[in-house]
Amino acid sequence: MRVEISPERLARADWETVLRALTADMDPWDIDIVELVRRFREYLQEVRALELEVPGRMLLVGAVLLRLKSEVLRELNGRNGNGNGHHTEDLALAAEEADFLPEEGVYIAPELRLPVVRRPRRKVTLAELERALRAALAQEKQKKRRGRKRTKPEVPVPQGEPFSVRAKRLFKRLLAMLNGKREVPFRMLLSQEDPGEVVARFMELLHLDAEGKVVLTQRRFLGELIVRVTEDGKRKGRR
Amino acid sequence: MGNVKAAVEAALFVATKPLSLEELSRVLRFPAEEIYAALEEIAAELEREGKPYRLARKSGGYLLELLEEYADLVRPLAPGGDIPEPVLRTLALIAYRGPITQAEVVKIRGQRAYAHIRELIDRGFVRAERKGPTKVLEVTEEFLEYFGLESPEDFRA
Repeated sequence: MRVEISPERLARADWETVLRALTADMDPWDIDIVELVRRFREYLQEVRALELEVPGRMLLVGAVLLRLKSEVLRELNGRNGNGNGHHTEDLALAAEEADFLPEEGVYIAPELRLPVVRRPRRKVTLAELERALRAALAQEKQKKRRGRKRTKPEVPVPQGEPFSVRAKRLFKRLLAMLNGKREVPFRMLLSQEDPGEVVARFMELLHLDAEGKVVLTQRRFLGELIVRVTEDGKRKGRR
Repeated sequence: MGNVKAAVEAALFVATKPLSLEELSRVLRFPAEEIYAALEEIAAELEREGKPYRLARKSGGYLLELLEEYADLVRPLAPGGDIPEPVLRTLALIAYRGPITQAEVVKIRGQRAYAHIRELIDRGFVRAERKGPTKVLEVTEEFLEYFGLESPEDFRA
């Protein structure tokens, strides 16, 4: 019996959960990939009001399904994996092993073998080299022009105080904010939604995470970043 | 396939770049000595029979090359040069600005320039000398010979 997942759950579930739900009534050692893909597409058809996160999840699960399918096909198309060799025999052998020998009269197309021909190449002339130089120099000029236009970086990089000082200050602030709580949402560390500040705080947090003072988690796909101060971090903070 | 000479000829027929002795030996599965003997035999045969092409040795490998007098004649039938356009642009830049650091070339030509430089070094057109974290690149004698130049200055003029 298939397990139903609500669209809301699908948006939050990881790909393993989605696959588990869609294959709940299948033998785990003999999953019908074609049926699975059909179910998955059908499922998405039902979900009309997709949240922004669903298409991303669909892509991920779709990629996993395609990979599974390609591995099955590769298995069938010959175990050497290079596509060469006696394809027909390999296919028949794989089919025999998979216990579905082609019926009498079923046509198995032979591997297409393209003729190997000589591709005439000539020497490059000096004129062509000069033309290539003009093109390369024009490209350089264009790049310089583009560089000049973009004087300010798109995301402002924090300047001024040394990074380690800022990270230490943020950690002190974080400890003060805890006040009995175990976690603090990332947005609480921001005074405004300025991209520069977001980048600066995030970099500082990554530094603190690397030092083992905090742990960063994101429970939902593209959801709020949660900052948890570790026991080790608290000990260091008291000192 | 038992005939080493025929196998080597077949490989040279389809190759678009010089094939080294090791490569021929690995692909055709004949000992390098037998390949070498076959190459010598092919070279002598082509010369003896007055063929319009010869066996040339380039960048540590072997390839069939048209004699100059026939090359011009059939040029319209071979529109593709043996250096791809993006690689040619990188080569032109190195020839024009060389000696130039690899970092500068990459800055101008983009990340793909790393692969171009590798190809140009393999083909013997460019030499690289390590200098600190980067490499300094300049064109070789082989490049000059290929384009019929006396020195890199001739190209820069």
